[in-house]
Amino acid sequence: MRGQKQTTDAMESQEDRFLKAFEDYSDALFRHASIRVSDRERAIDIVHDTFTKVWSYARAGHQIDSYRSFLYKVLNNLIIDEYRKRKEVSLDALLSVEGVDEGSFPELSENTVEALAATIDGRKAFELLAELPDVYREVIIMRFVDELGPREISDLIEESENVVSVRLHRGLKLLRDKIEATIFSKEENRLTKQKHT
Amino acid sequence: MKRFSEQLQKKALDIRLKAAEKRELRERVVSYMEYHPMLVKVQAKVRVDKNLNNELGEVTILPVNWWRAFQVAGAVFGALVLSISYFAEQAVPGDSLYAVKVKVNEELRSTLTLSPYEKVVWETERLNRRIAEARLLASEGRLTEAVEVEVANAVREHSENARREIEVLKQTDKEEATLASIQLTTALDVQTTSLRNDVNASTTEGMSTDLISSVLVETQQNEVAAGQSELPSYSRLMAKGEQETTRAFELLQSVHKVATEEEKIDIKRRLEDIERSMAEAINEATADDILAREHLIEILQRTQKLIVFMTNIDVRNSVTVEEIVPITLTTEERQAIAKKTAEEIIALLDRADVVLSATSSYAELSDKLAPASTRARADADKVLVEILVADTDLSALEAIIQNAKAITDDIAGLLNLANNVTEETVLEPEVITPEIDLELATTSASSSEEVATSSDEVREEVEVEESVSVEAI
Repeated sequence: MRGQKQTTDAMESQEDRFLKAFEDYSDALFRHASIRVSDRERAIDIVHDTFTKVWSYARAGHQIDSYRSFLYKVLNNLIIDEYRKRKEVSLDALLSVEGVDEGSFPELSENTVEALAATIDGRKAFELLAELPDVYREVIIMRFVDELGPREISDLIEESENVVSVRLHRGLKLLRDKIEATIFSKEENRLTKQKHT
Repeated sequence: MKRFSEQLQKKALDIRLKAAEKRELRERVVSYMEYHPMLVKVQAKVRVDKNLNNELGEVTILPVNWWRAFQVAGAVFGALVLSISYFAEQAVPGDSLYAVKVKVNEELRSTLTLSPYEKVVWETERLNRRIAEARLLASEGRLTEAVEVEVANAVREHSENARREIEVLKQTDKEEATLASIQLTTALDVQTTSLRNDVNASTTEGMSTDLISSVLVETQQNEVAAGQSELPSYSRLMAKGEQETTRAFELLQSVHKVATEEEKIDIKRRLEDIERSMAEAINEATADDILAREHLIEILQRTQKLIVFMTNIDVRNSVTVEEIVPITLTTEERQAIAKKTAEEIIALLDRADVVLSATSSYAELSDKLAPASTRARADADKVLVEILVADTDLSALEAIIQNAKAITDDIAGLLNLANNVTEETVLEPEVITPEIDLELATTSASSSEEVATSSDEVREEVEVEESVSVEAI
């Protein structure tokens, strides 16, 4: 009798925890998915699938310590699946472009990532995020939008912290180049217009 | 960097679910939850690893944990085997678990017993067990002929096994063989005594253990015929004696709850006797080593008999401890008994004198009885004086007093039967010496043993009187 009551209580608390996780993280997950897949409706579906998968896992009796990490993990996997389905971008190709080397010394330093970020206009960078390869976009969103720590990101994407640092560094650098390129092209356009007038 | 992050977040925060979208998403998720409720039965405690190295797709959920099931099945099987083995210990011939008891439990223990001495002890124990089973069946009226034959064969087999082990032991350690032999013979002795009592008592019940009893007697005779080849050394006997008495004391503690108050007192008394005899044997050792060793063997037998008595509840039911291990009187007790007997003799003779002098028809009888009476009185007086001397020979005094007692009892008997007495039936007092007390008679070498008893009535009277006097002490 007592054992049965305890089981029922445990089930209720599991449901409560799950629903609370929905309230707490559904917006953040949607934002993340939305930026990554650039499709609002698809992002909603991916978030839905994330929650149903996590629920299936919990109902089977598995204990989930941290819903935040677990939800991000499932979401990330679903986004990767989405990319694979689209086949618009080959992840292998992206990785080969990147080279997946161990990175140079400045790229491995957290300070240089921060210093680099300080030189970039966030508002402009956000608009150009969609143009970045997903491997960079992924870590930049996790780090600067979702505010996940390097360790957490490395767990989620199953890469070492060094790889995370290198990707952040290179992603930011790419962003800065793109911003500068935009500014440069805008300036050129302006000068051309002036000449015409 | 903070600025960059803030700016990025500010832009990102613009991307959010509309209230309607969020509500709809929530409804979809909740309805999924309703269609897929928590599984009550599956409560496996699988924790998600913090580093989240597995993809969800790789997680395999086994509704049945086979390893756990295997463990549970193993535990159940083990418990079953143990409980069968445990319950089999209570089985008697005819029960379905009896074969498990005899062929599995006991054989296993036999195999695990390595030393030949322990093997003899174990075979003796098995022999005790068979007899206990037979006795239990007989008391319940379930002892059929077939079972009796089976038990008798088992008794024979176990004693043969024990004998074989003793023979093996003789090759390596003759002293140990003698000790093992003592173990076997005492057990046989106790069981024979107790079964004999059972046979006498059970004639009305219609279930006798005659066959088993006869097998036991036969085995016992064989054992006696085999004899004790070697007298073990003093130190070895002493060690064994100490070991056995310690065990007896421990057993007394363990039977504390089941034994009656009377039994406990009896056993305690025997243990005290044994302790005292041990002390005597130690004293004897300095003077006569062989005597001390023989004494120790006798002590060992007594102790082992006592152990068999304590460990077999059915033996306790059919015999008293006195029948197996008679009481050994202390010097003080012997002195007190001798003194009391002497006083009784004098009192009795005084009464006889009064009767003889008061009745004129007894004049002739009085003349005839006078020498005997005087002698008895003189003996009694002598005993009363000498008993106070410290290093007097107590056995000699006891012999004297027994003789005097026999004479006095005859005088008393004659006077009580005076009306029917004719000249022909009046015999010389020295000739009419009834066997008085079983215990004291063994220590006194009086002439009474060689002489025929006069009348059963006289003997019974004396026995009653004696037992009262012993109890009073």
